[in-house]
Amino acid sequence: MNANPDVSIIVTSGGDLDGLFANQTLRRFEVVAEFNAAGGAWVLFAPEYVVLERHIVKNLLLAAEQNGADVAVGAVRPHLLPTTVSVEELSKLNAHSGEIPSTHVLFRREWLSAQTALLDELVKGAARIQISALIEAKIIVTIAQEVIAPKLRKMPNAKNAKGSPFKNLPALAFHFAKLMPLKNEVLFDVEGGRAIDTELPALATQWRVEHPKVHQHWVAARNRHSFTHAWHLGRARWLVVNEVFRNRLPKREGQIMVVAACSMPLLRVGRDNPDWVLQPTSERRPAWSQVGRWDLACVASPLNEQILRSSTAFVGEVVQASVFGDAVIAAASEPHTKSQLTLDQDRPVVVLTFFTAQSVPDLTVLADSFRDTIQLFAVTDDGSRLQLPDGISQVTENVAKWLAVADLLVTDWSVLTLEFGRLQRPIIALEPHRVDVVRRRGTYVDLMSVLPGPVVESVSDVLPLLHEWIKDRDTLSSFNERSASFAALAGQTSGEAAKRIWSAMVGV
Amino acid sequence: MSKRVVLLANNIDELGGAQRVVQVLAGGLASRGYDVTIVGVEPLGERTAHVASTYQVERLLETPYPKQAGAELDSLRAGALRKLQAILDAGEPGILVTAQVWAMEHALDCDLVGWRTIGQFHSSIEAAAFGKDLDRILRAYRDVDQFLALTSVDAMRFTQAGLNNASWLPNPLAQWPSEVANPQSRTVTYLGRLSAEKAPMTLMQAWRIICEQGRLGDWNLNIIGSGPHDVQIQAAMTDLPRVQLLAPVADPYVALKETGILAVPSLIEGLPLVLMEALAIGVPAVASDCSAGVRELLDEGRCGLLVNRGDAAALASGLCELAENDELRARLGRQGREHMLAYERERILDQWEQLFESVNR
Repeated sequence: MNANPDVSIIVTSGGDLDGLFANQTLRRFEVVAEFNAAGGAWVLFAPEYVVLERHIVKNLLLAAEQNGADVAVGAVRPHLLPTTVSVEELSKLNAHSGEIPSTHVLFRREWLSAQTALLDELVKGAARIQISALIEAKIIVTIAQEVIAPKLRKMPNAKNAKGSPFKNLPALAFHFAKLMPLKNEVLFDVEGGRAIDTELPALATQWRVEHPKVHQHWVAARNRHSFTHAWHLGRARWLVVNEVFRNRLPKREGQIMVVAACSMPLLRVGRDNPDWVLQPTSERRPAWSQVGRWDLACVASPLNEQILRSSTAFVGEVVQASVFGDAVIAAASEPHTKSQLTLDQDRPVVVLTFFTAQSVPDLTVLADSFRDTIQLFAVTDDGSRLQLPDGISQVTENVAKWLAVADLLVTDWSVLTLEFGRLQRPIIALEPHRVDVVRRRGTYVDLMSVLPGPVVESVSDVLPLLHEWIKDRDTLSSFNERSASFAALAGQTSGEAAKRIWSAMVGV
Repeated sequence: MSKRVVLLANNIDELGGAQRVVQVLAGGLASRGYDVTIVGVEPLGERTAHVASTYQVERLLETPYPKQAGAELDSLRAGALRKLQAILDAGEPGILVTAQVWAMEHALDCDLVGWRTIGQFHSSIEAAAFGKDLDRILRAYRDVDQFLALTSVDAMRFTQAGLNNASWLPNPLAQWPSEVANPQSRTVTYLGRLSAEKAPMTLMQAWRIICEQGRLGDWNLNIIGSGPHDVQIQAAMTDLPRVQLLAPVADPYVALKETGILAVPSLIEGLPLVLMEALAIGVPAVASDCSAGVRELLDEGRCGLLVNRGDAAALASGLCELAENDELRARLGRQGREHMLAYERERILDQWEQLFESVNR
């Protein structure tokens, strides 16, 4: 193929060699049937049936040359930008198998000639290479293999319906819904479901009372891409979404898309986090991808607005209003809330809130220590059922009221932390996953310096704090001054959040 | 190796960054012995007179595409593709550089056998994802020999997003200003399109904050440019002191010469040419932290101040910090000029020639 090749691709099993690699970006290569016939300074072994990805050989070659390596290994994971690694490190990256496909490896021919055992295996047609066989080499890991664009989730549209309408009923539903006029309907396309009554369910409830003629349809993650979802996507005048990372929803002319931003201040995956490629593909799309479609943003707090503005390029209207925050404040100002919840008036109430059910640590020691002195309740953002020790009850309804009566919150940064913050009561941050999540991913605010309470990493660290707090409720008073600043981050409530959001949405 | 280079852009008549870069690159490569043709897909506004006869200029269409899809658009597109194919076939295959993804989408429908292809994107990945460009880029540039982002960070992100042929090369400065800006100037300048993504209104809000605080009484604000936010700017100016709205200029150095601080309040950017030009002439900047390119140009604060984007109060405070400290302004201006040496035309052209060698391997 080339009189002066840089790379020799060795295909030991014969076949139609010329046709196999015609699409390569690198032109200076040859295809030969045996190692002894290789003329290039670099060699790569490929089985006959493989079609190499277009840029793979060139990426391997450039990485090897630029780093003076003996062996270049193509990485499937795109976060492995060119890096020199030891055999041990490479083994860790491929811990499940301890071997690499031969098509991912480019060898300096001179180096390989000296590795008789390895060469012998390859010449015999081995399709995989034991990493331990590369012990003598200087190895560079680079981008090379199949890093083709992440699959975009197939959303219903007329194009998808073409050809095979009955294979894609949602597409068909969307197609026909689009032919009809828009309906005064709100579609809540919501991540996280409606297990507990936080922001969006609270909003939906309020609107149901205030605008009973406006139909609402609620779609949680598991019901997406159904026939009904697609039908409402095509007809609803207002789309309310709560996830910045949603893949693109189709949007009709005249439809208003509202994003509700009320998440916690973990840095968004995609822009700020160098490890974003480790996230599932569905979360990897940058926060900007959906922004162009949003018409209005509803933020629950000034902090949420700050996050929205700094993590996206959103230029539309922003309404700062928290329906759930209104509910918490209203419940807190109501003198009989504690009685309504049939709580003991004398014992303090501590609510434990968690990001997800998976993040709930073993709370037995906490229950054992405070069963008689504190009324303990637990809530998760996703509302999933918890296995709790005797002495701690789970709360899934009237969460606003439970927050309102809590004297202290213990949380791992659940979304409820900010809502509780408005009450200016102490918060203990229990972050058993701190190392894994908060430290790795980072936050928009310095948690240690803004929280109105201490930050601890285990349940056993909470015990002495609670013991002291029981003895003297002012024990956490050193955090008092932070209570006001944290409440400012959480924002004020007007009692009319749902009304304000509605008028902004209708006025767009 | 063929010395033939075709530079294909959406249009070659605008004053915008990408168009200016295409012209600078064409002139530079032609001066180094390359046979260069620049091709614009459609005309836009008044035709720019391409004075340099060192390269050829072609336009695929005589009139812009109609706004609506239909038979007329299809027919115009077919004609454009025929013309592009004829231009490509007029000599031996060489290197085809597409400055924008829409231009590449035209080239993909031509027979490119024998051509080496380089696809560029003249903005950041954030900007790509903001509109519809990211998906189009991933599709159109997946198989080009080399995809070029403007910065190493953008290249890495494009790789992570799915392009494993991504590399980076910054845009060159059109010319190196022999003189530095007037260090006594008391003018904050905004130079660019008056549109939402450039956020000139944030600058107006910042100026309002400054005025309300009674600061920078001896400074002026010049807004130079035009665009859809013209009216808003004019309305905001009515009760603001010391603000002027001026028409766009062909030579930015004329305006920058009498500038004390350049304000770049944008929400999205790539590697803004106007910021490069300001730094080259010794004008420090207060810019929003909106792209890897801006961060790279300001070199971790050595050449200007970075502020949160969309944050008028932070922008106001940045402007005051710089305006009220002559020594700081002079130092950042000096460092900016030094930093911009790396973006001088001849240095960037050297990198282009190395790139040509690489894609020809």
